[in-house]
Amino acid sequence: MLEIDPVFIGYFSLVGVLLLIMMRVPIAVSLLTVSGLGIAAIVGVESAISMVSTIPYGFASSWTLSSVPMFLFMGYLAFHTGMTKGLFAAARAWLGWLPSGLAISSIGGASGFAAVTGSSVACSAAIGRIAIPEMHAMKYDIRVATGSVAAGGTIGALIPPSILLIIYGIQAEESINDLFIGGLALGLISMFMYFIVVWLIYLRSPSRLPRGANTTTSEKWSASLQIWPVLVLVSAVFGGLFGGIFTATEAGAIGAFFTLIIAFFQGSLSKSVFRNSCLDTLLSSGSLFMIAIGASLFTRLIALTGVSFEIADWIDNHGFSTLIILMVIIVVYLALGMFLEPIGAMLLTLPLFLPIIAEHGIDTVWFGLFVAKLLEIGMITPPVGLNVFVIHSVAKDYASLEEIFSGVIPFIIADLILIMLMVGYQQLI
Amino acid sequence: MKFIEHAIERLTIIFGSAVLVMMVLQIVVDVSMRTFADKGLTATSELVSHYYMVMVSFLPVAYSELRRRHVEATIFTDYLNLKKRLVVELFGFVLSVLIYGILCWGTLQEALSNTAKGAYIESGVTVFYTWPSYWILPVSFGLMTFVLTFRVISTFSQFFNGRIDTQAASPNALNITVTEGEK
Amino acid sequence: KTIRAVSGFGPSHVLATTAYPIMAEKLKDFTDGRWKIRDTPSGLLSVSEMNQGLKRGVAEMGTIIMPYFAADFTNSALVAELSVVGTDNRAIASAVSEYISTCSECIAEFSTNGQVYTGSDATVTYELLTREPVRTSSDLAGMRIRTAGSVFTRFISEMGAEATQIPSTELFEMLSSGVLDGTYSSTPDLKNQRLYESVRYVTNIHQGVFNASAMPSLSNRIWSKMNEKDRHALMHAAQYAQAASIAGWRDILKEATAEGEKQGITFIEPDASLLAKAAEFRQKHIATVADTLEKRGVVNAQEKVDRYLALVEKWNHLVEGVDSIEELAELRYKEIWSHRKLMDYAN
Ligand code: NA
Ligand code: NA
Repeated sequence: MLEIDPVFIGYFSLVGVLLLIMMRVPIAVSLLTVSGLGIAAIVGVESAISMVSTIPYGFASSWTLSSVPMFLFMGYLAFHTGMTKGLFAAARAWLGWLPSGLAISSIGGASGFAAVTGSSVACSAAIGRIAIPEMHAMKYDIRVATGSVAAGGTIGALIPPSILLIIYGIQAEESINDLFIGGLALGLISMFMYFIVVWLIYLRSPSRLPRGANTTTSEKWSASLQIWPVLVLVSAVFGGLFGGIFTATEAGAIGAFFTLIIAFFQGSLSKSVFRNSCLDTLLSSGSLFMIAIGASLFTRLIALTGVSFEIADWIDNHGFSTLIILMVIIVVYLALGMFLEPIGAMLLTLPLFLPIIAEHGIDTVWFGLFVAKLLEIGMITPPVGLNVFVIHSVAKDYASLEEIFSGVIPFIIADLILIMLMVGYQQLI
Repeated sequence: MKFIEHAIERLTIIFGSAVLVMMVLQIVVDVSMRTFADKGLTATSELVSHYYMVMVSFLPVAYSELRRRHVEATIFTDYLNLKKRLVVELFGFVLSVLIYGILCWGTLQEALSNTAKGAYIESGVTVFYTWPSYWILPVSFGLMTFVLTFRVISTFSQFFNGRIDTQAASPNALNITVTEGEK
Repeated sequence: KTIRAVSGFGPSHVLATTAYPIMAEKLKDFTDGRWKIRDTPSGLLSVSEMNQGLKRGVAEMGTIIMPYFAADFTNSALVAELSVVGTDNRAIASAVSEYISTCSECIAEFSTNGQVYTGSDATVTYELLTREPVRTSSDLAGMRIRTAGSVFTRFISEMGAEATQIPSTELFEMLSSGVLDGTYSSTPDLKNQRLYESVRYVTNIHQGVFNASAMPSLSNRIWSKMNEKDRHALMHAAQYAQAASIAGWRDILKEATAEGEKQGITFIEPDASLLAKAAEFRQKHIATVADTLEKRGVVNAQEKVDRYLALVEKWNHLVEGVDSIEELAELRYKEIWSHRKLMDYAN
């Protein structure tokens, strides 16, 4: 067999995925093709085919991931039954005077939603389907509308519960409660950073985020009356979660169930509403899971190539200062985050970075939050940005993929500033 | 072709919706039973993960393709003229056929071997059979390969007819554009 | 040649920190550097993908958790049904290793899956890790306890509690929120699953271990490239991985107990009623286990059960006074492997 340096295959694969995606090959197929070829080049064709055909089942047959289709279902049901119209009518009545009020509400809503779900994909799915049509109706610039929700969704994995932080806690042997407290703070800071982004966009070009019409006090109260279904839904989900009745994984199904019940009693659950909600949920999961599987398979390829070993060795051999090491780690995570799925990327890199971190006396809780934030940035960076794909999937009628990716740019800049602030904070303590 | 399209659509809607509703109900009943009756529903997490999730993840793949819902980046190909765009598209379709064909074949082998040994996992004290769930994948990927094959054929024929149809690229096109005759 | 290994439980697990590294070092020594091992602790294959991964050559060495592949390891996983026998993980693990490596159906199961069995480790004993105190046989009634494995599920159900199976990633959340009242697991899980803050009580019932692993399981693609000397070197080195893991569990038990006490966890000695109930369960279980196994397709189950029970007895004596990883590894190699002609093993 032709011997090619696996590390070279690793770097080449990154370029390969990029090229295929640019050639309009579906993202899932691009990732599967390159992963398959790469694995075949390193360990042989038989192994590659076996991996390509066993990982999809293993990936999808996950109890923890079941919250994703369930939250999608809840979001679509709430949208198709018009339940969320009331919520946004109220938001419009009360916050209409505030420029960018709906974008702020969406980011705030995503942060609230973050408290009932452990994954940022689920968070984006639920809020996206609800908020984007409303912002579109208000004539918001669609890039800001979709970008704010895609970025807002990343808060879902920072504010507890968080699958990422639990896995980090177990791998790094850190207190999960400490990570959760830090995650809450980091999530809230991210939320305020995103608020600032929205306001800055407004200040630069007010026409992108128009104000609503002024409403009278009585209009405000009558709009508020329409939000009772959503309040029932939210209190059922929050109450059950914090009352120890069900878990964050189960919250999606519970939410979907209550949405169905409320819609039934409101009389808004028609056959076509139900059918469309199911169909939309199926279409979204059909495309999203294949991409996530492709990204997961690509993570295995990167593991197999030893690229990450090489990077860790390179860092080790250079005797860098803590600051430089953190900068290198930022670059590595941003680069990997472009392609990989976050849990896989974390499992792949922690074995290499944790010893380096310990050697430099960097606080492991801080590092966990730092990694979580970096990986969440990866959820919105091209070419493989899972949150962006979710938003694309729930708002396909309103925005193209490229518009959403360009819409998240200001939020990524805010995230990078936050990362730098985190590094500054680390250097101080 | 129309017939098969409708068959795929109906299959996805009927089975997919049933699975979504069953997933919701199963979890709700499980949560209620363990809250009010101190005893959850047997094998909920096994059923959800090994059957419902596998179904929800793979069954709609072919239908998503019919609706052109698989995510792709068009920004770099948008500046190409129609003919060049068609070549690029054809390349994507051919690659997709290959990949999903391999997936179909590979998962079929998995399904066969898991069926042969009667794959199961332990759920509490009982045996929970997982082997039937492995069949969801070759069926789903088979449908997908089939749909993609027709895409390749239709794109090819457009290419050689010189009659370029952009309908395939429109997101709400339910029709597979096969031959001019069928339209 | 470098063997591509996947220890599978992540970078901070004892397999990645101690067991695989010590095996790598020994193998290198024993073969004068001709064979090396490189571990990718996570990211390449998860433990639930390991069987296929080894069969198809994605990894060449890895940790097999047999209950994940129940249908593939019917005979080998017999030991799991008997995991309530014994309390010393050095003896149990060694008995399992001797049992499987001398059971032709078991070796065939590994061969069918493209693997070579090299031995097993075992955890320390399982206890009740709970939010509310459990002292007597009636305290468990109405509690919701996570269990892994049918023996433990039977016991918990017998005690009037509800046994439930959930993935380990959900454990922290479920225990913290009170959806779950406890987990039937070893004390080291306080550390391994970060449960110091969510578990308040540990009831030391010392019943059961996890003993159904093959660690490391070797791809037969590697095995077939090895001569008699290499094969002995590999088995010899593998005993170090197993001994290191066994010792690791004992060390973490001490560490987790100390840290647990510091974090306010109360360690409870069960009262006579609870111990009696547990003993009664064990006896009844052992008396009926052959039936269960026959139903799963194990032939002559009673004979096999008796052979395993005798091996546990034997090893209980053998490991007395064994202290270090080195001693245990050498003892295991001498008793189980050294006299064998390995060119005839698992071909
Ligand atoms: Na969250
Ligand atoms: Na990305």
